Amino acid sequence: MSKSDPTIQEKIGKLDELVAWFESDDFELEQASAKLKEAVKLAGEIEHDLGEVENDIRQVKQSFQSEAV
Amino acid sequence: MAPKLTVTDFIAITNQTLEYAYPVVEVEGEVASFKVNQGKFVFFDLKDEGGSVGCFMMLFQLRVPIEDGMKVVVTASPKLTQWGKFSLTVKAIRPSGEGSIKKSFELLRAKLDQEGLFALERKRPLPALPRYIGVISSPQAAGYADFIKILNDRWGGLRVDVAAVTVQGADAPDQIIRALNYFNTQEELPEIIVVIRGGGSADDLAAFNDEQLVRVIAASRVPTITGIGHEVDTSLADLAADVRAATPSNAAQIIVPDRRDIVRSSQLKVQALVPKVLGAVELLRGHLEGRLEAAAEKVEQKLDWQRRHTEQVRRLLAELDPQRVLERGYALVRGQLKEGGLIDIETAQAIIKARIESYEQK
Repeated sequence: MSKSDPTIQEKIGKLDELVAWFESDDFELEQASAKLKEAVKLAGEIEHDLGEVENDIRQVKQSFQSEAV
Repeated sequence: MAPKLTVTDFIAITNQTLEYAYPVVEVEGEVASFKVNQGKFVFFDLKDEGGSVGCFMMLFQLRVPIEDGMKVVVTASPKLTQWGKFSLTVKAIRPSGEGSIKKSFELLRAKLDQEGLFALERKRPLPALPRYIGVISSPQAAGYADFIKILNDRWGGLRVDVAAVTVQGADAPDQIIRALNYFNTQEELPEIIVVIRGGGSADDLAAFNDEQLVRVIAASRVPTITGIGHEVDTSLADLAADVRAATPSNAAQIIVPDRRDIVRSSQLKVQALVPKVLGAVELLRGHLEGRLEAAAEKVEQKLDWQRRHTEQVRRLLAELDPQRVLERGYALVRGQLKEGGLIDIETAQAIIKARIESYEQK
């Protein structure tokens, strides 16, 4: 993923926003179809991203033994 | 011939000899005559059935509560003082034996609890979906491997910085403190610091009851979670942390959600939207149908009124029909209305021609 790509967290947040829109007073049938398509796409991306991304585990170079007590 | 020495030289040579023979010793015994002088210097005797030896240490080196009668192990250097008194200069002290470990634990727990270090109001929630976590553990330990395995299994995309420390023994508390300070002073702070150590004996886990370590955990800028030992083990570090996990694996479960649950939940969220949209369409259709029905009813009412009105007009017109008047017995007279004039008289049944005999104005 490039830096500009939204993270999984952002995608989950966006999906939650979309779901909340459907429950809100802002809901309009005219926009519902497009929003639903967007939600389906996001859910697919989340599934894809979570299946693919690994954790980046790095050991800190600094030694924690050296300093005198 | 025996060497002739000054007292100062004798003390110096004795100390050199002791330092060479026993640079550091661990001595186990029971504490007696424990006292703190001037708020800085700690004195006590260490004794067993066969003898007693004086001990000295600085107060800041005392990391666990000690009192008379407790069994302890001191890490010390033997020394002959300038007044000729033999003593142990203690670098570290730890309770020894189940009773003393428990006693020391309870004393420190009560002290720190009174200071509010374990208060629930101090606890901060962990971020729901962290992106960057700091791990303090021994990468060789089984507990660390369990933690990483569960973490990788459940979630991806995390930055995990691992501070490798020893998690057991006299050096452990200071190393863990340094690692905590390291994470807490980074330009980019981790969102969570997790302290991990697998199971072990009470002695193995004693490092996590170190007073300074507990204080540093409580003071951490970054929210902390501990996964130390097994579920039944509760250390003071656990009590000071924002969240206590029962085990290292449990810590991973608390820090990140299971990706399968997130995928399932995302799909369910989207699936739940479909009936919502269909419901809205149905609602709109019902609304439109209702409006159409209302409009049709209005048209019907209007037509009905129109029909009735037309009927009334028709009836009125019928009443005004001259034929109806004639049928009621009246006659219609047409012609020259003057004496001798010829007129037509129309009744319902006939048209009569007649001549006027007399004509007067009323």
